[in-house]
Amino acid sequence: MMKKFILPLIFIAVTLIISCETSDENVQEINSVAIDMSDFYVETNSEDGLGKADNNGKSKNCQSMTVLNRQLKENPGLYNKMYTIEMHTRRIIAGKKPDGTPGGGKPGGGGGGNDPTPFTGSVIIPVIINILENSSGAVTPAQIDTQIAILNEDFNDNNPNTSGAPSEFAGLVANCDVSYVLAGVNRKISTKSSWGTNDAMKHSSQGGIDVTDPSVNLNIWVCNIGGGILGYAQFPGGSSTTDGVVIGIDYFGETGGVYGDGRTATHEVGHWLNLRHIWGDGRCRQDDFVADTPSSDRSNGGCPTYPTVHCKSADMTMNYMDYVYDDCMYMFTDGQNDRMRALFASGGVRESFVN
Amino acid sequence: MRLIIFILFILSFSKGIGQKSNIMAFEYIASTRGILNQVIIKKDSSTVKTLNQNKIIKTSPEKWNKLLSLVKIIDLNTLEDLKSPSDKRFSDAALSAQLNITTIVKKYESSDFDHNNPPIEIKKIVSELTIYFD
Repeated sequence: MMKKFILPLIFIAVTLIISCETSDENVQEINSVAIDMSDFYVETNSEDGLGKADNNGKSKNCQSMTVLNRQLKENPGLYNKMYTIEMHTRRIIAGKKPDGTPGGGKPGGGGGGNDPTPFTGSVIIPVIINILENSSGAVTPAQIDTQIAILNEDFNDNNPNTSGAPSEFAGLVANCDVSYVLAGVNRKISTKSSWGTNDAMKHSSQGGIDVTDPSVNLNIWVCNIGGGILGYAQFPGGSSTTDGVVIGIDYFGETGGVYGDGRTATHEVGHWLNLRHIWGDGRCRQDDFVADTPSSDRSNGGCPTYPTVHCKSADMTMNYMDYVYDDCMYMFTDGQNDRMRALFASGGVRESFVN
Repeated sequence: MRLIIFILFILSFSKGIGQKSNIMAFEYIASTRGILNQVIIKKDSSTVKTLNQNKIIKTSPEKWNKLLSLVKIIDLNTLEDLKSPSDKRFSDAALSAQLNITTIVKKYESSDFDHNNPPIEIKKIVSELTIYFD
């Protein structure tokens, strides 16, 4: 029995040592040409089991590569799109020089061609609000105005709560310089009390309102979602007919209660701009693909006290991409800003917003 | 004597032996921003928790035995590697769910999956645990 148990362990260890040598080389090449995509996921996979056999992260890369290959086979459509966007994002971020890096030159690319960097100018996003309400005007103009104002506040580092950031995180606060401008309001009467999360509200054929040109507009659908869901989003790479975010009527703009300050939209627009949940939707080693956010193995709710420690470091519970109350979230990081801005760079999936 | 204890310890982690004979609790948690659905079922009592209430009820012998029979078809060591059939939780369109099974030896935690769409391997046992919320 002992033998039976130990043999597979030895086998795994040997396999890791052999198979990981190549991925090590890839990591070193990040600075020149190759982009390491080995940890990309669309689906969650727990890597802790294998990871414990290895302290330096090699096993994670190898294990994930297997998962990635499997997923490519199983879901080539959406997965390939998201993979391509992720690859582009990483190339852009790798092309941006970390502050303080000596020598200014871009890494010499083997294939010629300049690696673009994240878009650096101001970004202005026209917003179309698509409202499904049970009586005309149920969603008030004040809700619309305050929602736009809150998005502008949060994406331009004007949230008054940010001043309370712990010193560990204060230096990471980003001014994203992304502004939101109301471009149109569409209203439709509907008595439906629970639209669900299958995008019915985005199709007139299902009683909803069709998207308005998503290549140059952020579409926000406002309706009763049901099931207690406050809002949901779609990542870049999904169908253009459903591109945008959905916010529950009671959580749209300034309303009331702990989710009444309009930050459900900030969180969902973060997803729309390619941000993952800050804990990476998995265990400690599953990442949100942002270098300056701490690793965590869970979401945080309510209004956590600092420090809330998971995975041996304090969680950035005040990040817009955690699950805390509206008043307790108040920052994006520079790394998240780069990730969002990669979408607007040359060849980025939302480049059409800045051209 | 030490050797025997060591071997027993190793055996308890091995598939099929010991891992299910000493089950202490079944736990299902599904949460997202603003929602918590949690149930912990022990042999004698069950706790059903949401953000608004915390209810403790008696566990019926039928329920407990049903769960014990359903867990027999699950290899607890594979829980942490189960593949989620969908990922709506990544963009908040579904609650993020987890199945945890505690034995005398350890707590087995599943990988995360979308509430209402569990991996096929644990579908039956999950449906016994989610009835408290539907």
